[in-house]
Amino acid sequence: MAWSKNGTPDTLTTSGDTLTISDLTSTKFNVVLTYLTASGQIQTGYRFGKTTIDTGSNYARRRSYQGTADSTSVSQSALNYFDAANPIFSVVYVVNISSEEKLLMGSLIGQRSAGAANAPSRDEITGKWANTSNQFDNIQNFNAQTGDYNTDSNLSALGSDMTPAAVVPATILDGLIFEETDTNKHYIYTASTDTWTEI
Amino acid sequence: MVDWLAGNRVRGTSAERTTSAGFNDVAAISGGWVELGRTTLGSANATIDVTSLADKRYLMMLCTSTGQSAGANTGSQFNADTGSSYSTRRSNNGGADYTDINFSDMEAASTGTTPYFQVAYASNLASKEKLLQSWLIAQTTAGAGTAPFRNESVGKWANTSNAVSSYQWITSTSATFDSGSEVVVLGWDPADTHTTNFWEELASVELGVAGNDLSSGTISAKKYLWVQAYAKATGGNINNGFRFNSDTGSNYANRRSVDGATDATQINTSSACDDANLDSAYERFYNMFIVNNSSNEKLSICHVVQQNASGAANAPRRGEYVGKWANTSNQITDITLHNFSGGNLDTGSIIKVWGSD
Repeated sequence: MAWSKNGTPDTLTTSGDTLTISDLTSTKFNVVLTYLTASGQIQTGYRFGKTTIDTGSNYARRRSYQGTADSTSVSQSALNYFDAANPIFSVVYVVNISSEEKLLMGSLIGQRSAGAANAPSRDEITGKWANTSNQFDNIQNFNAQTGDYNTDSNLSALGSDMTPAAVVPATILDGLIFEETDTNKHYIYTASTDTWTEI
Repeated sequence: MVDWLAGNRVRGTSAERTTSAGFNDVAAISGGWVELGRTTLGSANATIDVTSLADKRYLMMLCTSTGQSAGANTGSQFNADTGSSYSTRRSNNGGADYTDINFSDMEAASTGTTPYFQVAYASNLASKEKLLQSWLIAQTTAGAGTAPFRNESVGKWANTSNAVSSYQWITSTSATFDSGSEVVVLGWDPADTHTTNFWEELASVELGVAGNDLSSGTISAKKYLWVQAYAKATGGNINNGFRFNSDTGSNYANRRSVDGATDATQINTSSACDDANLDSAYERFYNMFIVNNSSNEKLSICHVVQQNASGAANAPRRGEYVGKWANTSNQITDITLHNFSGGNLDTGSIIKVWGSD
């Protein structure tokens, strides 16, 4: 087992309020890397879910901003940390055991105004998702502020329990079932005639 | 592109079904942290320069000094830029933040002529300022009778035209790092498809019978160790610390802050990163990095989150630790999470160790 890329990293090509990885392999230990660019005011807000993102009031967090006294926030719809109109980079570690609350810890750096004349900001963060029935396989960064995450924002995840394997070229085998999402039809592939037949 | 599913099934659109281009290769399990470069000093020098770095979206730096010619702050630079292109925010020993602007490096304060260990992450998008976050432990005076020093920093390089292609770890004065000091730069990129991970799994142990010890068992001796542990309690409270090579003696010294409070120190104690201030029956999750040179004290940087009472109405708690094991004759080959409190570590508690030379 090794640390490997987990799920499909989400990099924005148009601005928006969410970055989501929805195809995580559920691993017990996780590292999440986030780099947010800003169009207006943005906020780092982590959410998790099994199959879909949990937007309920099931999150609680603790943070220290700029090294000042800790503050807490409970029964929230996301693990929200500092907001800014400039890029934010965060690294968090998350433990993901089905029957236990999911615990997060990490840190954020905010660029603040451009240029070396402006010192960055920082946030030391912990949080939990109070779900004790599932491992998450979805993770999201959610912006609750008025601006947007801008293009090139990225959400990436690494999982600890992955088995490294090389890319496997696509091979369409006889009998392959195709689930067609835009027509809600199913097809079966016949290799000898290279045809699809609706089933 | 289509999604490949189990059982000889795929999911996609009609356009993807009727064009061969729609069938992408099956995704690989790949792309962990990969080593981009390293420099090990063959003789004393004030700069450790790691060059020819591939362009990766995220960087991780492991910086270890075996000693300095004089006490000095350390600093980080990118692409050998020595101009006034950096600013920093930092805290020493949990004290109030202070900032530097228009500096020639991103400084992380340190102290003493004995070894330092720093772990850092950086964002690396060429068109944006590069953002760095780092944690540093300084051994200070040798022996478990002196607690280590810690620094936490964030910094930025105000360059918006180049990706990072080299990294310099420097001293802030004319002091030099001793021979054997080293910087390793790792990279991670969303587009990576390699299967060459820097971090090799050395142990993965889940506790089968409740007790006071959760041991990794014997692990390969590696220069850099990364430990994560999940601890849950049964029968009462738990208060945990990490012991190395089954050493239960008073050979450890720690510095810690819980919930952001003023740092406290422990000396001549029997574990590293002892989370006594979080003593409770609540579960917790640890992340720790260790530099593991045989002839130097073993330096660790650890963070923990504790669940607190269950439910979203209760915010978690947190701890920040640096610790040292004052052994200068062996590498760590066993890591045990030990409970000092009245309860036990419950079944299902987990310790994982990764390492690399």
